[in-house]
Amino acid sequence: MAPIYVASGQVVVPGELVAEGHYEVSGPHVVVGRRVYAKALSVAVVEKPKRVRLIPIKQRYIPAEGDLVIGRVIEVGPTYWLVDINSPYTAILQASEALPRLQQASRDLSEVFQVGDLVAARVLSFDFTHDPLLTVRDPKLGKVSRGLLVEVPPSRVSRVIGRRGQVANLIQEALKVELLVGRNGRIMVVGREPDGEVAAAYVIQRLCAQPYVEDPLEEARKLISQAAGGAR
Amino acid sequence: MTGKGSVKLLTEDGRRLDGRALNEMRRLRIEAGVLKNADGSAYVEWGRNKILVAVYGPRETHPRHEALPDRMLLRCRYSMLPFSVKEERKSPTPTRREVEISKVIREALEPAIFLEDYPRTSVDVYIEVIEADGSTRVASITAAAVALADAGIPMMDLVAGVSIGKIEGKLALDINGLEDQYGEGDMPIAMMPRLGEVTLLQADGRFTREEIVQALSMAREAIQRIYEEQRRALKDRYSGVGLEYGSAGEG
Repeated sequence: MAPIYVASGQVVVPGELVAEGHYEVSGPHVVVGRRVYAKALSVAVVEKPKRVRLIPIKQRYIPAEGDLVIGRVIEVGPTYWLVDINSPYTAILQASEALPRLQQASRDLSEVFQVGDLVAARVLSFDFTHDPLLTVRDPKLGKVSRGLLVEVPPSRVSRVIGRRGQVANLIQEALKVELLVGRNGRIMVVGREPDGEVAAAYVIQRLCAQPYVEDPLEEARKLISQAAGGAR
Repeated sequence: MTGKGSVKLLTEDGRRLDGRALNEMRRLRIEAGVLKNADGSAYVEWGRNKILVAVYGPRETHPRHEALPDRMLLRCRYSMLPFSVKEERKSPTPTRREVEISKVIREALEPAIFLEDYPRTSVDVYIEVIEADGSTRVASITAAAVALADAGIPMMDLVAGVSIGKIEGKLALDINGLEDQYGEGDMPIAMMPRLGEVTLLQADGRFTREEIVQALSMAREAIQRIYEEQRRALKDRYSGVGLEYGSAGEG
């Protein structure tokens, strides 16, 4: 039996030996021969006897094609907007990805999105050599003018969505809100009433407060009942 | 008269002026994640040295023309606070010495970092020496490696350093300010502890071939102990927060 050197919940430092042999490891790691080393400060989770997940404690958001992100417009150019997406790479939203063809040349872009506006967008392309390109060509995308913005570490966003969207659905149904979950760690909570928004923001923030949560769905359930209790 | 060799640095029974044996290190304590506004940080107390390191990044490079197309740009700034030294107040303008130390620290850290993971971005390492008592460059490297790891920067290993001095003809581990000033030599050494690779090796003074070999093995042994303290600092900062969360009924 090939050895494993970590236990669930254990913090690993860069360069630490995680396992030796045929392991399925996800998260920042390096493989040298048969040895698997951690690459960044992470919390280890042994998911199955042969599967280890390393959850980075701090990690900047790196854009990936198809990701939904929530950005903030930081500059309006002649044919594009520059959008901060909480990443080391500033994104570009071209007018052609936001406006009908006939309006592209004639319209003043600051009438559409102004500096400071929040924009829900999808990453069209990114390959490290060029800045990421965004698009808002989708009915759900575009300017976000209502709701509460919650910021969480990007590496913990997936637990807000949950397996097949279960956690997000639970929060939406229980607290009567709509969630717009940006992969870049920005989550918009839009509710029919402000109470629901605050409660949902609390649940999301608490859910993402720790590097590792064993069962996000159960945890969310607990937090929702806490939040609902506090509201009354 | 002051100068090399004019001060007695060893007592009759072979102890150093602060009571240490020749191969004894000063007390070392590292704390990770001490600053909220920085992406990563570390504070080190090593004997009378007190050093604070803040790391920012990876972030967009400014000025933009300095960005490297294929890798991350690492920038280090070592700086001593005006009240960090015993003598007269140090001017806050960077001295020639500080510029050089910033460069060697950068070069000592670079080999451990996966710079190619985030092209065109930069990572800034700000090192502030609050109080200095010899061997600050290796103490800075030791703290900076912890701060980099704390910032989540991808690395293949940490980097730890120690300096070996020569006092009254004998090699001494981890020399302090006095021994640096009046001793016959100073050899700062930094390594990636797990890989055992040397990333910094400087020396002033005269060392024989045998002394260099011996100094390296003394350093190698000490660096393993320093590495344990670095790991402890990082693990203590983030351990125990993972699993028990949610049990307390706050709300």
